Amino acid sequence: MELSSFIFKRLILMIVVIFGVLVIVFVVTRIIPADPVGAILGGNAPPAAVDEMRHQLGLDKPIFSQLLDYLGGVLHGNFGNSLVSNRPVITDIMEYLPATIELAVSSILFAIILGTTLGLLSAVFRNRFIDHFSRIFSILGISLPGFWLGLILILFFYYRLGWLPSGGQYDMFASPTRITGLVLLDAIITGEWNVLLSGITHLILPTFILGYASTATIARIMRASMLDVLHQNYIRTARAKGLPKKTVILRHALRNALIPVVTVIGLEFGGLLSGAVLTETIFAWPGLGRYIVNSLLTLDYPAVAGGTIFIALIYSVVNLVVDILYAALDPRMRA
Amino acid sequence: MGKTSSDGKMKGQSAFREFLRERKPMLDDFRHTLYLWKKTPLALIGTVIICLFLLVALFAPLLAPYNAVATDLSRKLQAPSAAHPFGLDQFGRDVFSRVIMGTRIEVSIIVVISVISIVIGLVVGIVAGYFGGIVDEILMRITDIFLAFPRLVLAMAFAAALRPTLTNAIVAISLVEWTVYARLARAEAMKIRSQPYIEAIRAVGAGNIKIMLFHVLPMSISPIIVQLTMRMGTIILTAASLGFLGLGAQPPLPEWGAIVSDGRSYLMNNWWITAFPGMAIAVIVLGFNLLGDGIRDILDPRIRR
Repeated sequence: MELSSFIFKRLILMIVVIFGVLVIVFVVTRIIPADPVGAILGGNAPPAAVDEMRHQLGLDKPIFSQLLDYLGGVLHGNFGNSLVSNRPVITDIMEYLPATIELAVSSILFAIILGTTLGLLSAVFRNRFIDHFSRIFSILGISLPGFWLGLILILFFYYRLGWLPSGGQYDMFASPTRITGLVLLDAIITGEWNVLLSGITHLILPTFILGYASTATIARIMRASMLDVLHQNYIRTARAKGLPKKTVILRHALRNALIPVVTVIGLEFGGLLSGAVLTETIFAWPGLGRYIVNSLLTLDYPAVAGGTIFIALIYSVVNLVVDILYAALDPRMRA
Repeated sequence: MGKTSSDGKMKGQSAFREFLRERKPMLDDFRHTLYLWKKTPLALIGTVIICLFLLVALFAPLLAPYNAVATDLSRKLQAPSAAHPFGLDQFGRDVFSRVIMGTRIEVSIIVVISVISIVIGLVVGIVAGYFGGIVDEILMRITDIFLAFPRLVLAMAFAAALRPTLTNAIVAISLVEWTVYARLARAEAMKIRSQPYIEAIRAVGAGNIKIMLFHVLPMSISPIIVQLTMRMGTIILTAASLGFLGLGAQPPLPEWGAIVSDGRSYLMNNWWITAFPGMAIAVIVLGFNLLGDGIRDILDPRIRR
């Protein structure tokens, strides 16, 4: 199959899937909850007010026309108003999204750099100290609950040592100018160096907690893939023709070993979005994950719907990009 | 007398030898597996951790020194001591007893989620793979839709919509987990469907349901069991995360994630409420991951010899 027709087919599939996502979110936030009106007005509101509210929300219409109204709204970027902030949900999301992007990007960068390095060293120095260290580090990374490790690190680095802040995106006294909403980038643009420094110190613990599991997975895949490649005949040939070991590893082996790692990095991004929910909650990080959790706990269903749809959209787009990249790298995957 | 008895013994021995000889391939296979098991010490450690965990869950009421839910405010927030190795929480409850009793909750979470998600996954996957065509297309697109959400986020939404309780958290996680098994079962069903013996069975007159139930299903079970051991750690982590976020087990249930969350406000001065239950989660998940890794290593022929 041509790459372009593969991409076309995947795009069509994605539209079908997104439609399904909207329907599931509709069912979860509008049909399963027993009493959305009670959640807004409180348990003992007068019946007249309840009826009024049901009418306002369109809950007195047949379910199918509710669904159509809802889908129509979403296609116009209208997710309704948050019951807590009383603002359009989309405005809320746009305010919280940059913080999540900043955290996710810094975490995946951390994971890629540390994970590939550990995996590479592990494979090259198989069964030596660095290999054992990296394998223990990795198995702990996928086993330790991030929310717990985060709290323990706060206990040490904030309460006991006082080296790092316990949460938030920057110090209370700092008042960053908001341009893109990405604190670090804005600080660089405006030259607010104290904000930049404060932003970086606030980013350290959340980045480690969110990136640790991905680091572990990337290191494991990198190690396995590298070991696989190092046993191939062409590596032996390269060594036999007298190339130095370093050249063989970095120029011949590493390139081929990176292909499966690229896929895993893409898949890890989805895990990162799940992890962001917990990390943001622990570190009071003003991102989309914490927004969804708070909305769930306050039964703010329009906000839950908007946030969930947005996360699913980001996740699907990332997966699509990974699939296309993979298909471009390896034609066998286009079937 | 003595002679007959020794004759009988000899006879018995030779019969036993015969018995062993007949089953030599099976025994060798078993011995080989055992050998590989011993060669992967990490898998052995994982097995030991999980066995201990199951034993603790089985005998939890005998092992827990104090009542796990009864409060005693006069003794709240005591630090770990000989009498209370994990200390006391903000309601004066023994954290050690709560962690011990919590093993039962964690075991039931794993068992129930595994059963529900495997049943849904098997039905969807086998039907899709066996019939193929439009049925396959529809079922797999539905699976894709569930996979379009980050797992935890979808589980959170289900759990909150159903009202957060332990049971609803279990239902919510199962509704997210089944996709893994559906894809596996589909792949197996597609492989088996095209085998000649299935054609033969059909020619003899077996119906679709009979073929799926008695011929496709048993063949697709083993890869699913292997996958399950690798997913169990994640299942526990997800359940604990829901508990931690307040969307799973509710107080005073001693679910580990919920206890970690309980201790959060007391972290600075009373770290033990958070530290120990979290460590329990870490150890169990580690056990399952070590076992899963070991099984994968044993099954992967490249690492095998």
